[in-house]
Amino acid sequence: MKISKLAGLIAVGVFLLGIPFFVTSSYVMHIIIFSGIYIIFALSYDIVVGYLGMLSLAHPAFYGVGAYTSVLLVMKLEVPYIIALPIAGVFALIVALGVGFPALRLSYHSFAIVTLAFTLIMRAVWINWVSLTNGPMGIPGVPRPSIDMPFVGAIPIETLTDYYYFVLILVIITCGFVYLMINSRVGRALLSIRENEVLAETLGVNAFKYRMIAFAIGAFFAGIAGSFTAHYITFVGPEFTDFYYVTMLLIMVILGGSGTIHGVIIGAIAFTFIPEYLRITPEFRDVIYGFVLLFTIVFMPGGIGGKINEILAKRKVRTE
Amino acid sequence: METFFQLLVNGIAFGAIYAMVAVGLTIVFGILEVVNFAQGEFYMVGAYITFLVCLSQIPYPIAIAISIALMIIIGLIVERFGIRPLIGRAWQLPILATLGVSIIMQNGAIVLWTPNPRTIIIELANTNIHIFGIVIVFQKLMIVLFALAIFVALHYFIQKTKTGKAMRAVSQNKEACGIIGIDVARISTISFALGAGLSGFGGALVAPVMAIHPVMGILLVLKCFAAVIMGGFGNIKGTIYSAFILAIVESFAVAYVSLQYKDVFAFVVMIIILLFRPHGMFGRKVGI
Repeated sequence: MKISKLAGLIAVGVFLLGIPFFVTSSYVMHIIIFSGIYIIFALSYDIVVGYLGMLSLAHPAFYGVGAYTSVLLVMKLEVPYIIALPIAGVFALIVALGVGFPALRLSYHSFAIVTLAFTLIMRAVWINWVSLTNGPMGIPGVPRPSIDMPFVGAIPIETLTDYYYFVLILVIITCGFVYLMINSRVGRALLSIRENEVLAETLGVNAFKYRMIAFAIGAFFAGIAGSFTAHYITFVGPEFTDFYYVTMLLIMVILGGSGTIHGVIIGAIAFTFIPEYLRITPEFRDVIYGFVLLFTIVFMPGGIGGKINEILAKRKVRTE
Repeated sequence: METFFQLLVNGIAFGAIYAMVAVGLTIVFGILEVVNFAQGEFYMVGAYITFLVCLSQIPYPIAIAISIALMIIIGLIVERFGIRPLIGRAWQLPILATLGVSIIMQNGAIVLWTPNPRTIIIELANTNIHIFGIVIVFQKLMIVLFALAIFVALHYFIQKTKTGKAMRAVSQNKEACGIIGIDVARISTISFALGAGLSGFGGALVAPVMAIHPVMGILLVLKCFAAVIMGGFGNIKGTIYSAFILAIVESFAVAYVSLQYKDVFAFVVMIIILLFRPHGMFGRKVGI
């Protein structure tokens, strides 16, 4: 069992490293890179929605904060990208602490609406703070990242292959971090709060503290995803904080399976590729998204990841 | 001074609309414990139905009645297939379902009716009335009067009728209601349909004075959420007062502070109030 698991892991690793060699279409490569971005974005959302069990609608705001922070740092202060990227995440995290401080004290429903209000406020800020954000026009011509490594020198990130490996590293870091967090003391505390807050508190778990941690970490990775996106498409604008992203993330997380890592990854990849190949108007696509969301919730609330876990559990019972 | 009263009058007219939609939200929350994101789309579709009915030369009052009736039917359908299967499961599932309904209706409206804003012209509705130097559009006066009538009727319905009393009971304790023989599922359906109908009525009332477009419900419903939270979830009177306060504050802030941040004031006011009173200005934890 152990050896087959290791072999599987190596096979997946080789496959992921080999993608740029057998995918020749630059269009497909572009979608693959976006899948990577949305995996990070969706996993960060799943920390809040799946593991924390709070319906946050502020995620596009953190995506935007991350994007604007790193773009402004790189373009106005000429900070190297490798430093600007983590700062973007940290800044989104600090903003999340500021929002979470009042919002996480509220009831579940009020939390959803306050976070939604925050998204709208941030969007209004991007549009109206013209001297900093260039208003509704956004900031075009964002420089492509170049990473200064000790001993090796600067590695420019220019081609799709470069971006692919870069996003792959970020995805692996995110998945690893989420996996370790969920299986740590923090993760168990979060699950206990999600399942029964009163019981968790009587056992000495400080629900507010752990909620803040999870909300802030979710915002951190959303900021990272936003920063990478801005430097990949070399543009940042108020569209980064569009409410559309909430719909998209909810579909990815809920259909993929909230509270599972593999499910969310499947959901993110599927819903990056499907709309590209559906070739329909965005409005019609959103109507379909709405129905998918509705049907998933009513008929398959565990999502794909939940179904996989169910099947695995059944098989385990049978073999035992 | 005239500007001041003009702004006040405008604020009150919008407050009446906010209050109608927000009351629907708060009733649905009080009974079903569901935040209904589709409420804004009920309002939008209500306005569209009024527009379409008026296009075919049918008088405006009948158009209003048709809008309300159709919105109640749509509300019943949504409740039956989207909400009821989810009651008793995780708390966020019904909310996500209403979000799904909202996305479907909004984008469905764009597909069906194009995103272009529409207007209907009704002679009487656009007549100006001059009172002490303040200009009031007739329709805005009607909005306020209709809203007041609705609130009075609603008050009697909830305080005096058997169904209303059952609604209050359900909002306080569902299990106990089940034990003494109140049909909780039926009360939930009635509340949801009532909410949808109120929203449709609101949409029908603003149709002659505002541009009708598929995303008109989004900002409105968010401001109504703000009013609901400020009033204390499920508290009808608190919600009505908060809706008027928000609309009046907004009306003045636009004139005296900033037009660019017009849509932000309501949320800022809400967040400030929540910082100090997490259960809202008139907050109680339960009950309508």
